[in-house]
Amino acid sequence: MTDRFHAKNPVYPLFGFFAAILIFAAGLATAKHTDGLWYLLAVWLWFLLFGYWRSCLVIIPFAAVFSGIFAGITYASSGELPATLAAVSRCVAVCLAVLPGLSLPAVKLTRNLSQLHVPRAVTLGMMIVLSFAPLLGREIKRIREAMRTRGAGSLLNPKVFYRALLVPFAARLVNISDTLSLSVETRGFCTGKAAYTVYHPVKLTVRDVLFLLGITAGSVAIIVWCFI
Amino acid sequence: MNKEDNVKYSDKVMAEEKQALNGGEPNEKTQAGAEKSELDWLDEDIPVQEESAQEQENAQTSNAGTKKRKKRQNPNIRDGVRYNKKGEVAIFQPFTVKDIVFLAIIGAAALITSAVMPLVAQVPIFGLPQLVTGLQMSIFPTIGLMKVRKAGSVFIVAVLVSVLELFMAPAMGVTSLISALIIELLNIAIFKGYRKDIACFVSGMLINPMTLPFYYLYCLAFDTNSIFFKAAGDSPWVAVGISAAVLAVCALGAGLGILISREIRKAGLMKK
Repeated sequence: MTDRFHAKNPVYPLFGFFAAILIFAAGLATAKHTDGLWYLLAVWLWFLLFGYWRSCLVIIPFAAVFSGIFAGITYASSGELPATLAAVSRCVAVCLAVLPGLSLPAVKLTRNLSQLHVPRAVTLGMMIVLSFAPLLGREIKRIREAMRTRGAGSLLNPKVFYRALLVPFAARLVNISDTLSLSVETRGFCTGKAAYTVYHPVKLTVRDVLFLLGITAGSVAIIVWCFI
Repeated sequence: MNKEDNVKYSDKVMAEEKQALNGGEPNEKTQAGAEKSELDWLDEDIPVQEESAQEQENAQTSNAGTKKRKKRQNPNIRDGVRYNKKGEVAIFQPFTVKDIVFLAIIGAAALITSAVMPLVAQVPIFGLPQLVTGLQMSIFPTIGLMKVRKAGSVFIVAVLVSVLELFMAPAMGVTSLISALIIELLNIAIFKGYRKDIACFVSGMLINPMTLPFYYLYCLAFDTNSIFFKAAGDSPWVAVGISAAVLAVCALGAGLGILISREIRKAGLMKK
């Protein structure tokens, strides 16, 4: 599902992870300052410069709707423009922090962590979580379609919700897990301390360092500008 | 002619041949089977050739490998179950690939069904995101615990989910990890694992509400500008009410999780 947002050449996965934390922290800390919005715009352009154009464009309508809703709620509850702007800043910061994760193929993050000798249980589990989230979304859709076909009734009815949605979904999860674990075991994965090879190691490049340096410099600069 | 007759016939022919070679005299020794004659090699097995130096070396290496493997194998683990020194089933059991895969899928299901959280992320009511995600964040982990039943399962689910959460909301990722660790410690102290259903219920129920105090402490330490922190300060009774509601919703979710897993087990889908 998220494949179409993946960048062709994403930055070093761990650097993307640190960048997300920095953007989130700096964005929230400077949300009350109007200069914070300029920082977020600069971050967006920085991502665009590093080849994240696809996810950068996808995030625009989402951020517009997301921040529009919360700006409306905040303005309705407080009636103050600075508070509304702060709400917009927070929403945009969250959207931008999601960008590195959204643009990163799950397998790259797993390879990176495997290279760093993170336990196999974590890397294997993480890859499953990242790649199965969209598949489970489709499973829920299928179950709802089946409910409609059978005329099961509304999901607001607790009995229908339990019997027609929760139980089939849980049963499906167990089935998927059994098949997947069998498949994983036949491919030689194990949780023990067996030696393994990373076929395509993720290498750190100057570009990655430049990317993180830019984000760090920008985040530190905006915090210093707003608070000191 | 059956098989037995065939054997008798061949023995007879062999004895006649030996007799002919010995100059027509019947070989009593051979017939009696007491001592070996020159022709008794016919009855012997083919001798095994001596091993070459290379083969011996290979055999030694493989023996050493087997010994090493035996050394590496934990003698306390039998049939995938770890026992303590007293011979009782240990609290910490080794996780198999099957367990990790199931917990990861459970984590993914909890995460995908919690996608409604961003819709309430900016509403300034303390604990509202936890209230919205309470049901799904207790049903699925409880199902996972009911199947895997190994100490550390909650922590594994939390690690897998929080890695994704860290990309989106670092505060939530950190609080999830800390609360999962505390739930595990509580479980070990009180129930000594997830062998009983009540242990699964309590841990499944606490996963989401436990993040509330830690989120408050996180905001107190790092993010005093957080809207939730301010909301808790402005209207503490609302925060207390919401926290109680979160606990109630999660208890309902954990109960449903236990019911669902019992039904699935009854249907024969959930095997240990």
